Amino acid sequence: MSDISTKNSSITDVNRSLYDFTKEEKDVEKLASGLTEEIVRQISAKKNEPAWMLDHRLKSLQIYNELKVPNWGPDISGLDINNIVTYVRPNTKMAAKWDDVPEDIKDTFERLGIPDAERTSLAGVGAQYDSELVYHNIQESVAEKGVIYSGIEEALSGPYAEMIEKHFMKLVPSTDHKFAALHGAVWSGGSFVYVPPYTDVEIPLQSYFRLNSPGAGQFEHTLIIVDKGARLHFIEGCSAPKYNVANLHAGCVELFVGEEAHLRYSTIENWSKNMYNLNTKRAKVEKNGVMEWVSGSFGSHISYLYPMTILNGEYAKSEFTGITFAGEGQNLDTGTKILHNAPHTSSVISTKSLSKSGGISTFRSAVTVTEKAHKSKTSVSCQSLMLDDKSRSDTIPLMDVRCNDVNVGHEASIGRIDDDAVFYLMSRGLSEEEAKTLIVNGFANPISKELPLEYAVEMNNLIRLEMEGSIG
Amino acid sequence: MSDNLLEVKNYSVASTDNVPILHSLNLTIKKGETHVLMGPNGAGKSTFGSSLLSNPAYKLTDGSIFFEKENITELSTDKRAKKGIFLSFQAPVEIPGISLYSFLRAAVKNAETPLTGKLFRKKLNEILKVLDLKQEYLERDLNVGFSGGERKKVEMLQLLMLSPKMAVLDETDSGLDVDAVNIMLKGINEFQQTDEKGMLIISHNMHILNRLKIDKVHILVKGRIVADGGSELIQEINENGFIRFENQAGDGNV
Amino acid sequence: MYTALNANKLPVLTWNRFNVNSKELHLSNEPDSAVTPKIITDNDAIKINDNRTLDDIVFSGSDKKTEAYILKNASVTKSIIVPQNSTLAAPLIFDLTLQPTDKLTGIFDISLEENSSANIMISVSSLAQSTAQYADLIRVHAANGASLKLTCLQLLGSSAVSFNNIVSRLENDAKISILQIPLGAGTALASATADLRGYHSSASIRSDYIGHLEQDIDLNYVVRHYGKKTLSDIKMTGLLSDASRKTARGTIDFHRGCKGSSGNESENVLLLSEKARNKSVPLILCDEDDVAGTHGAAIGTLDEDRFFYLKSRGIDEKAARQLFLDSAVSRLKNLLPEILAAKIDNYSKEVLFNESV
Repeated sequence: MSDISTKNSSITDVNRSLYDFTKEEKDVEKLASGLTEEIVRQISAKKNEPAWMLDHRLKSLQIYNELKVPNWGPDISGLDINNIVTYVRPNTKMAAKWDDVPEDIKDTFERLGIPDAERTSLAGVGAQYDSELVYHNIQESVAEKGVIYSGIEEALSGPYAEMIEKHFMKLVPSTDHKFAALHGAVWSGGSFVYVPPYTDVEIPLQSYFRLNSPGAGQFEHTLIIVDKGARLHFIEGCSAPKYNVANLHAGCVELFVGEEAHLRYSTIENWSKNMYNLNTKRAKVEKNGVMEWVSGSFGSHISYLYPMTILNGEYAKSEFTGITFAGEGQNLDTGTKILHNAPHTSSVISTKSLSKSGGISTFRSAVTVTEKAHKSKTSVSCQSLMLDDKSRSDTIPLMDVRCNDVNVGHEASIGRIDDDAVFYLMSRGLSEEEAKTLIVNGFANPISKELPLEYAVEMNNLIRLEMEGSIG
Repeated sequence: MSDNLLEVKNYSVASTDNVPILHSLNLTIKKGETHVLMGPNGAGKSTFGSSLLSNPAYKLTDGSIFFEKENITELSTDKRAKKGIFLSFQAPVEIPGISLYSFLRAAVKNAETPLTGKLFRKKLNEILKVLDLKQEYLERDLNVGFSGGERKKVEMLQLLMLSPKMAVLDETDSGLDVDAVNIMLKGINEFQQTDEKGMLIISHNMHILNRLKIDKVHILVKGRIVADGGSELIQEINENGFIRFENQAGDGNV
Repeated sequence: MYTALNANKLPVLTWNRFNVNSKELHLSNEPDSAVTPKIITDNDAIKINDNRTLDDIVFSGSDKKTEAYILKNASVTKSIIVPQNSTLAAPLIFDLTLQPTDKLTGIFDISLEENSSANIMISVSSLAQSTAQYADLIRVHAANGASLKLTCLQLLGSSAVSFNNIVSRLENDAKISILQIPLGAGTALASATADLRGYHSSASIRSDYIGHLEQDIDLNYVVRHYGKKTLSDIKMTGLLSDASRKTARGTIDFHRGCKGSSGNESENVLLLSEKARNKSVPLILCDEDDVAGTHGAAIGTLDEDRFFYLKSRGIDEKAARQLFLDSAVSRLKNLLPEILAAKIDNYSKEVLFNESV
């Protein structure tokens, strides 16, 4: 524990420049920007992947060309796929020791605190730099239990190839939406995790995604299978330096939670504010399984992010805890989707959103209770805080109930910081900024307490940074 | 006089997740009798009252229950109610969407002697007066926004309207002021007027018990009846509490 | 020939696959049938004429194409002008009775001059067996300090199509309180929008329905807060039995500058049948920090405790369903004057409680 607290105190000194440094692109291999069949074939060829994958890529490309961009949500006309480089290969092979990672890339992750975190509080780490994983390692004790944590491309040619083929883009088919199709065509990198039955991975695994190259897209694929009765906590972190050109993140996360299994998936997303984050995440939960999402959205220029849970087996449960902080120049459209598709399933959604300095935050959700979901229960609670009168906050929930013996509850509220609370704190000697920061941290507290300690500290720091200079 | 109204034999109850609550209770209430069930908090008193109407939150793990000598162990809640058993809830629920008036009409239809339109209205108005309840309550949704005292009065209103054979009153007087308790006592006295009806009062308010005709007292501790007796037991508990009985129950468990 | 409409549009769109962004509706282009509204009033101060009087007032409204259809097709046009400082206590009732195959399109322009108040009711009904089509546009302008109670009761037969539209604009301290009861028609659309332009203006919208048979109910309520210290309250209450379906959209839209405003939205849906379907889309749009907006919804069936309570009084599930219907009908009757309550009674006897249906 003492290790962690030392580490926290160093994180407290963090500032935005931590995320906002760039590395020179040395000897990188970059494909041309834009999206053509030629590019898709080139990506596939480089990866030496099975034939079905090339088929999948080409079909996805076709679907991509047929689908329209959504007619709802934030405007993404500023994103021109013809200007996005879909594949950027850093000049390195994947390493299992940090010492084997090239100095400049290693330095990036050192500055983000990843190797340090690995030593102190993680069971395994994967690090992706632009389009490829550059580092992947898992603690021996965890590997001995039969837990697989590896690059997904590497796993495609290993003993789990068949399992991957069976699950890959089955939860999020390329037909789901235009950017899922784009992902299907040009995906690169990402992790594969398999936790065998009744195996408890007591400390978290983490993947960190770093997009260094300007005008590039990152399209990593994360596939996690938690088998019957097993437990896992997976943490995802993302950041990028800020460029003046649009970057695109269209990753895909597919999570299979088996019977009686338990998966917690935590994300602190801090992409730079030129990023279009069009990410798709989905989990399917079998009988008595539990899925927990903890999702913090702080970065990106534009986000469309709605992790979805399909409660597929009786008594399956899901909990979604989310926070979104939209500051200057940001339009963050976030939320969740839940599909109750079996009897006695239950879900709890609890979100907070903050808008400041002209930022737009939108909470969007869809809860569907199908004919099969007898005796199911769901409750949604979303609270929005407006930090000034230049910003915007919308709440767009949807409930589709097709079964009568169920219980669907929803509550939402929107408002600003209570003047009385600020006055009270100032009367005790706090400055206005301190008082407001304290109140906002309190507002975010239900989320931060769901995060591992060092991430909670990082989140509170991000809030403090956002709040700095918010007065006058 | 010797007719059995309600009889439970070897009656054991557990929660739906199998936590045993009541253990082999035996109790007989004859027509014309008023019994009192007393015991410390958590003894299982309310569970007993509620289980008599087959609350789905509990299940019978052993034993049986007879009403007017008929075995009703397998009967559902509404069927038991139609036989003439009434439970006055300790905490009556709010039911938005059903007005008190429509509810009373529907409930009275199921009573032994259903009242037709005019008679129903007449009796309802009389009882509203006795209980000091305003007419406008009738149009409000059942218990929605009613105070604790108002809810208790509405329970009493139902008791008097339905005129069941057997009344189980669970903490009917708790949370009421002196005037309201007097009104309740008036209601209970009225119900006790005939030899045909039976009553089980679950209470620990000595004050109201002292003002009622009581035939038998049962002491429930940790899910077991540890003593049966007459109203003298009430006096004893008034003075010494349940300590003697709790010790007894403790011994019994060894 | 018909006009295809995407009516009851959600002010901000969401996922298309849930089919809630608008309601597809086909309205006939046939000429209207001759229907004369019966007007019930005991007040001489009120002025009623047959011309449109609110064409110059800007309403943010709902769907422009729908409004255009109604303006083009209307055969009944009534303007109601409530003079300054006058108070109409007794309700002014427009009673429209349609023959089973009638088509009727109506416009009602209601102007409330300064500090006036009125209680206006529009009732549309037909026999239980009907394929009638009814569409209307009710435009309300409430000047400073004016207040209006507006009730729309719809009791058309089970194959009818009905679309009741209300748009309103409120100036300083003006108030509107809308009650829509789309009880009848196989396809029942209802929409109301209120533009709270004036300081401290307020809107209360109530919607009560009892979904039955294969009824398709589609609701859209939007309150736009522009003025400072404006207040809104949207309440939708209903039950869905048989194979009925309902979609409800409710939007509180806080525009920049509406400081000190508050809006509240709530919905209660009781699902009484396995085949009933419910969709709810409650939006809060917020472009201003000094506001308070809340929303709550409860959809489903009675929980076990409540069912136990009813059963302990001898009321089984079937009787409980009937009880909910009875209570809903009598609650609605209590909200209306006798003449309209009698219509609801009739409708419930013929349709809601008709065991042979």
